[in-house]
Amino acid sequence: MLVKFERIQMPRPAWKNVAGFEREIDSLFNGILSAGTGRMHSPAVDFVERQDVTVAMIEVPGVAKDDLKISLEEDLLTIRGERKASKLPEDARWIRSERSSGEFSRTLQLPYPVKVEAVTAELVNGILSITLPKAEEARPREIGIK
Amino acid sequence: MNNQGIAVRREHDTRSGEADAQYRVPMADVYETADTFVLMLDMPGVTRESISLTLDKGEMRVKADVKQLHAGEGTLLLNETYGAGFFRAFSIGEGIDTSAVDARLEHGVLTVTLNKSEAIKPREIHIN
Repeated sequence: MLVKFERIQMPRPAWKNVAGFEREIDSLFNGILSAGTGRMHSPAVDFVERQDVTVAMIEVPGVAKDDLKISLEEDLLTIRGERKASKLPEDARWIRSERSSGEFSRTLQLPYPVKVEAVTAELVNGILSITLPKAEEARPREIGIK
Repeated sequence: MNNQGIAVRREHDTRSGEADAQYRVPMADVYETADTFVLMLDMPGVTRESISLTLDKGEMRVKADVKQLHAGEGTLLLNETYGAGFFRAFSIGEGIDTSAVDARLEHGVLTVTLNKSEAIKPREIHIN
């Protein structure tokens, strides 16, 4: 007897690298506008899919925990934050200013549905790591044959 | 280059053998006050133990190895970080008191405070 098994298909984006595309647009603006506009350069992201979880790691040096906001809506993970500009003493004179400050935002498209209540995040050494456990229906399962 | 200032070099030093395309150049803010030079470097993922900070012959070098964020098993969906760590060299003038350097690391940002030796601090000259 045939066993019918239905798999829930997540629609995949036309290009998998949605976040990368967004970054290209970001970088066009950042170069022209970022100086003095209060917009930080788009933070670099590594996004890894492991067996049961997907992990997003974002470089946010100099950003305090309270200045970060993570939100999850359907299959979009958004990280928003702000890096406060350095406070210089009264008599300070700038020699070099390469570090950007201000608001930033990254949105990542998740390849799998996640167990929202089991998502965890931690900020260590200026890197924000978000661990997203895959939802039950998205995990690979063995199908028994009768 | 002003002998009493800090020249910032971005290129890697090929003579020392540290020319390694795998090291990222950390972004730096540098400012000066009457008594100090202060450098702030973005080095996300770096720990205190992994940083090597040296002052030698008028040159300050900062080096830190970082374990790749995505190390381990898995499929890389997005990879925007790279390299084995960070490295940058700065040319420091004669006027630094090398025995009194303060360095602290917080949230992946290294702040180095160099104290100027008396000789180069701005002084008021009184006219008799």
